[in-house]
Amino acid sequence: MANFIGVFLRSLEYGSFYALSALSIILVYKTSYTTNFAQATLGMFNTFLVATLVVRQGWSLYAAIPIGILSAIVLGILIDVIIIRRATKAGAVGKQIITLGLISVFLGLAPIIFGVDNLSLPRLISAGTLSIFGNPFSYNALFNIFFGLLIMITMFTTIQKTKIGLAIRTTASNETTARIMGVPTKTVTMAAWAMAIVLSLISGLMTAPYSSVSLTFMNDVQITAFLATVVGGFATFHGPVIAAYGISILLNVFQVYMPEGTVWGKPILYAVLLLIMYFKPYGIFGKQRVKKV
Amino acid sequence: MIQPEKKDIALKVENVSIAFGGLKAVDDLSFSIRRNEIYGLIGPNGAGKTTIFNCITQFYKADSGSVHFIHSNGKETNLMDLEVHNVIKEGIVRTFQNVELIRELSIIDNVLVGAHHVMHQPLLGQLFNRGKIRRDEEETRKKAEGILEFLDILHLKNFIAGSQPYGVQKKVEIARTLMSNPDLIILDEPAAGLNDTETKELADRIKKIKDVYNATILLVEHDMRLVMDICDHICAISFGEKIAEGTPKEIQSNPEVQKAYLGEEGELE
Amino acid sequence: MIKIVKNSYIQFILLGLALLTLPFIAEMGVIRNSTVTVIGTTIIYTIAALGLNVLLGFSGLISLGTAGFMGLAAYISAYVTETMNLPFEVAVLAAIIIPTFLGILVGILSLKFEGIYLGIATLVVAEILREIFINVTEFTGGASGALASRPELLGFFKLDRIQTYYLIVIVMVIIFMLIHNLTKGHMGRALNAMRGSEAAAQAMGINIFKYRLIAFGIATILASVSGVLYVHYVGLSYPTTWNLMLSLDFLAIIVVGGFRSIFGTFIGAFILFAMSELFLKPIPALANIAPLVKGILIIIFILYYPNGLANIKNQVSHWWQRRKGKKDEYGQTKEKKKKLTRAEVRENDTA
Repeated sequence: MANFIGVFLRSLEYGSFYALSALSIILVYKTSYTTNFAQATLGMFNTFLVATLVVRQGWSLYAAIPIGILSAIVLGILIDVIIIRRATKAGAVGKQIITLGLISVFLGLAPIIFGVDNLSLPRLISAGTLSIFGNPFSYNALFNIFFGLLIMITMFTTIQKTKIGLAIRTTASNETTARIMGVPTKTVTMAAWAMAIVLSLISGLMTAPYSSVSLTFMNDVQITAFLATVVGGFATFHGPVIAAYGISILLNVFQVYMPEGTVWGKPILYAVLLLIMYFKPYGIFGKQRVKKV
Repeated sequence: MIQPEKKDIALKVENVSIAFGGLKAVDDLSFSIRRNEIYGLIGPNGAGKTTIFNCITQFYKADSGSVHFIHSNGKETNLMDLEVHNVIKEGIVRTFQNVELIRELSIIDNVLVGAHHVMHQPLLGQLFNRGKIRRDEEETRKKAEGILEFLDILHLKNFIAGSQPYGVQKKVEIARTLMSNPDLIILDEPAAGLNDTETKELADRIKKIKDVYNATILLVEHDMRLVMDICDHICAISFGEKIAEGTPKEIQSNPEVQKAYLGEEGELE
Repeated sequence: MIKIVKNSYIQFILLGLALLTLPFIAEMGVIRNSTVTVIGTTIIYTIAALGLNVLLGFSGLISLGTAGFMGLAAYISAYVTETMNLPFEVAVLAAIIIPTFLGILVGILSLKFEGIYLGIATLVVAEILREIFINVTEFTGGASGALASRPELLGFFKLDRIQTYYLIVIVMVIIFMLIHNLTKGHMGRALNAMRGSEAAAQAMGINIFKYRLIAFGIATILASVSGVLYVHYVGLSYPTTWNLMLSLDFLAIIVVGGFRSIFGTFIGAFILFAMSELFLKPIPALANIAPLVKGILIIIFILYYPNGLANIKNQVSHWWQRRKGKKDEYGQTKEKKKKLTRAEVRENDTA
């Protein structure tokens, strides 16, 4: 039991990483109608920037993070204005391929700007451990859990209760109608991209101390986040986030309690989730649309 | 109205109902279409006309009721037992309200798609492009050109379908249906988006199709003049229910129809 | 003469012959031997990308799992020839049949998914395969990779590097011809219709289930062939090779080369793979910008030339014909006259 609580808390912490990425994906999907496959790469790029400032320039982590956030916002705006906004003629698949192109661009840029070496990023909270039912738990992990939850709650309150949220929701449900009704859809889309890349950065900053900042360090997080979005369904904002925490719990349980779970837990979970997708093709929280002809 | 004899009937829709999320789109609807006639389905917007088409062609499975197709040899098929892609094998083919073409392909290639189920080309034969396959392709292409000629758009055959005006695209859809040797052609708003001259030409064309291809035609149309001009019988529906059935004259003078279209008072043109 | 060159078969054979001469040119010292190796690998990538083109270009079904299937075939072929010591031909069969069976299973899954969901589902399948490549070390050699030697045909004819290159070129030409046959006629129309409008396709009697399976089947067969050729040409297979980036490369190849174009696929592979290998990588200053160039190319093509290079060729030839047409008065007047008479007939009809 004590062991299980430890597993559960770790699931919540990893769930934060996945949920932040999933929220990033769904924000872009809802406003630009494309799945942003470059989510992880953009998160990696900005995390690399922070890590470079910290490791190579000797900055404090807390001074480097605002620069990273600023860079994320600028990148989001640039990507929307220079590329996504012009892709009016591209269909859904075309836009997906654009984001695949973005992966190549930033995978190419990162080593040119930041060098080819992997960097190690310090934890957000460097020291301190708490014992929870006999499980040692770092302050950093607890911070990740609570900060992740805090961002989710803030985002959902914003989306559901504020005027900005209303603008996002109307843009998401029907862009043309929203524009006619006076919603500045272009600004909303741009802000969504900026926000999405900031969320990816936060996910990256939380993930990085557990591995190292490399070109591909966020790929696993992204794949899990995509699974969460699909299992939760693209229909709602909350579906993917709930699914992200759920998948994180399952993944940890599989890895800890299954024989050879550390090796086979993940692929088996993937296979299980594929089956769930097959029977719930529009996600657990999604609704099937009737096709009109 | 005199009930037609069974052997004259081509399509029999009986007590069909379908609901979407509790909302009845079609409610206990029955009507029969005689062989080799033009039958019109009219009704205000949202009356459920396209839904009925979808129930006949099995894009939707009706909640209750039956749709029977009677072949000219007397064989009767319950269409509800069929999968959507097998409906055409019974000789029933349709067009769509919003033109559904392969935009990037040429007009002739789009028309050739209509011959899909009449062509029998085993995969291996196609893989090695056997002589038989080549001859089959050539014959089908000639047939397609004949149909394009019949519809006056042969000179456009190599143009990209998506870049053609709406009127031409509608014709391409009709040409595609003719490729399948149809017995029953279902046209969903064939005149939508056409101007007066084009509509008149279309009316002629539909009558000609009926005679030349010896087909029964069922159509939904908003253009009353077209419907009154070419249909032998008309069924008027409102909110998924039949309100009248009969010849164009009978429909025009039916008070229920006038009410559904124009409110309490007024007269159909 | 021009008519002969317009025949697709002849074009494929001419391309094949041109590629076959490369080793001789290298022999003469005009190009380097490594160039031949790069071109050989380019052809191998072309084959896998062509499979994806049948899937995405013709049928409109996206797959992000091409690399996974290609890798699976590579490992199977390496295992059957090296560990089981069975003939090359047996390895080829096994390495095509097993991944294709899996690919068809994915095709069954695909019936339930639309665009985006399908992309992610195939990505997940490829991830599961990659975990297998890393962890089932008895079969794949794990992180140290699997080794394979050059093909031995019919049990006695052992190919060397250049002969293997010839084999690759010949396989490519044959595949080009077969895919050309399949896509230009009956099946190609069915796949196109499925992409253009699923509703219309069904109304015309096209069984979506059957054709989705066929599309996935063809895509996996070609990915498998590509994987087999790869492992016996390069000699090695590492789990890191078969990642998402490679699948994206195949996607990029058909975006740049052109959807539904066989030659386009080859040109796309040449530009995205061979050009950077031959022209960017040897120059130290440019070596690192290859992915950047690739990314920018993808984005530019989607934004401005969504039909790829193959279509630019058509546009140029249209433009050329129009220029020629202006000079050719006869053709012009004939076309005008035709239209005029039609308009007259129409007027008479309405009158």
